[in-house]
Amino acid sequence: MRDGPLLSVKQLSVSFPGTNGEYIHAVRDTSLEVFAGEIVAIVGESGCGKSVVAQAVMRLLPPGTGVSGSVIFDGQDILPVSEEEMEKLRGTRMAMVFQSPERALNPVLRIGRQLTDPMILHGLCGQSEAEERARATLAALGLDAGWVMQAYPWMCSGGMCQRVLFAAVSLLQAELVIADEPTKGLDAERIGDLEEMLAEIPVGGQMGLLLITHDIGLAARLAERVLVMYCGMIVEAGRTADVLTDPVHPYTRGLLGSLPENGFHPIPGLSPALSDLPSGCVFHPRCGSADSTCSRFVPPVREVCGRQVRCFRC
Amino acid sequence: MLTLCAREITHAYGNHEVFRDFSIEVAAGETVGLVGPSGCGKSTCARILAGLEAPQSGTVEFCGTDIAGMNGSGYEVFRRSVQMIFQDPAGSFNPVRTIGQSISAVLRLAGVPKAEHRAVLVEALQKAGLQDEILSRYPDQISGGQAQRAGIVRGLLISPSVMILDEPTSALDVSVQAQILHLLKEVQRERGISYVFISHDTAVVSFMADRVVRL
Repeated sequence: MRDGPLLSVKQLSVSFPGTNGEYIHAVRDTSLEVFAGEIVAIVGESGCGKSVVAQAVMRLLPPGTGVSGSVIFDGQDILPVSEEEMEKLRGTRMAMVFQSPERALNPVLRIGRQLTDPMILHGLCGQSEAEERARATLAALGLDAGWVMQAYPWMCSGGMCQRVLFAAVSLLQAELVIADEPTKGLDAERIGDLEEMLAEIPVGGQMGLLLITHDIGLAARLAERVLVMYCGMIVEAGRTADVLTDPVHPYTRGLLGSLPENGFHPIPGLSPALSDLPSGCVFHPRCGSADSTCSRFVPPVREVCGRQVRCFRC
Repeated sequence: MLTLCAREITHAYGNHEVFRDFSIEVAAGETVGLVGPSGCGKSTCARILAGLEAPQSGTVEFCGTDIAGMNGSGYEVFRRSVQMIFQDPAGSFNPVRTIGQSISAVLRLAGVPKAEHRAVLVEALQKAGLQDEILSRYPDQISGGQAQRAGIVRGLLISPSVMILDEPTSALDVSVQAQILHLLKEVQRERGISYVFISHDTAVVSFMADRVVRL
């Protein structure tokens, strides 16, 4: 039985080289933990750095990206390990469900091979057992297993491809699953199906799910803990029930206030470009409570009302 | 007074009939929500109302005149008066022209002297909560929210009487969506403009529309 977290990200910062020699700070001083048997969600708006965190954890960032901090998976910091070692971890112990499922599958390989080859490659079983397991998993996900095994991804709808990706992750029985915007582009019915699949991941207590989404409702329904990200930083983190029903950080309050059920109250101003972030607290130009301290200093993480918050004014 | 209406329009793509005998009326200053499931023809209906496609049967009337019979200046007035905002905000701008160049083209068509372009643009952008720095950016260099605001600014510069908004916020984040919806309401209060508001999101339609038509 594991004592510590399955995944522990500590003070992660990621920067990309810009076109004019500058660095774009996509993620700054970000820490999070995922325990086996739980779902943790990162929520935030487009471009806030959620997917970059996922790619950093999976070590899928392009060469030349500046990464600092640590990503500890099952007790081992995986940022310094070789690519060969990462290949052994990816798929078998860590897996990712990508957004745009049609593009995440190889368009020129039949789906059957895309499901069975990884199992064989990672030594989980032989060809015939791999096929049997793949068929059973596809059928359990409500798909016509015989047809889907023979089909190419372009013959399937977005919802079918999403389920195929989910089957691929399930078959490898990875301990950590990262789902990056898994509902993006799906209609309401498919979102419901996918939610049921995602909710099954932590059942049994062996697997952990890091859910990355801009859909606050999805996070509220699935996650035990939620982290709210704005301009590359986690500004509020805590139990989902606390953060989403009684938000403390002004950005979280603004984000929830702009939801339909809360009357579409907009947050004043616009998100700054990551290449041109304001000094001090990144949210201070849009914050009604900001003072001179907020514009001069980056707020440290503080414990407020049982959650972690980056704000001087909370 | 009716500004725009479609009477018993039918449209098909090949053998696939999208809708039959559909009618919709838009009065001055009102917002009509157009809703329906995916694939029911909402966007096709929008394009027909904007004069971008012709229905296979039925008529579209602007201020009481069938647009199929319009020519010359009458048709020009219709095309200026009925503007359309698309779902993909960045995709509705020319990717190899700056936002400033794209929006200025509208002012040129409207006969605004070139020397006044920048002042007119800056004022219009400020009203929409945008800074003039975006004028020198290309569509892929601005956010979706900025692109959608810029699209609305472009549509409003020639003072239309009707705007057809096809899923204008469905590609945007929730806080940006709220900003755009409030901007549209403010513009309507100031100018008495009519909207045909298409969305699959019932909460958004309820917030915006005076009446709802189901396709």
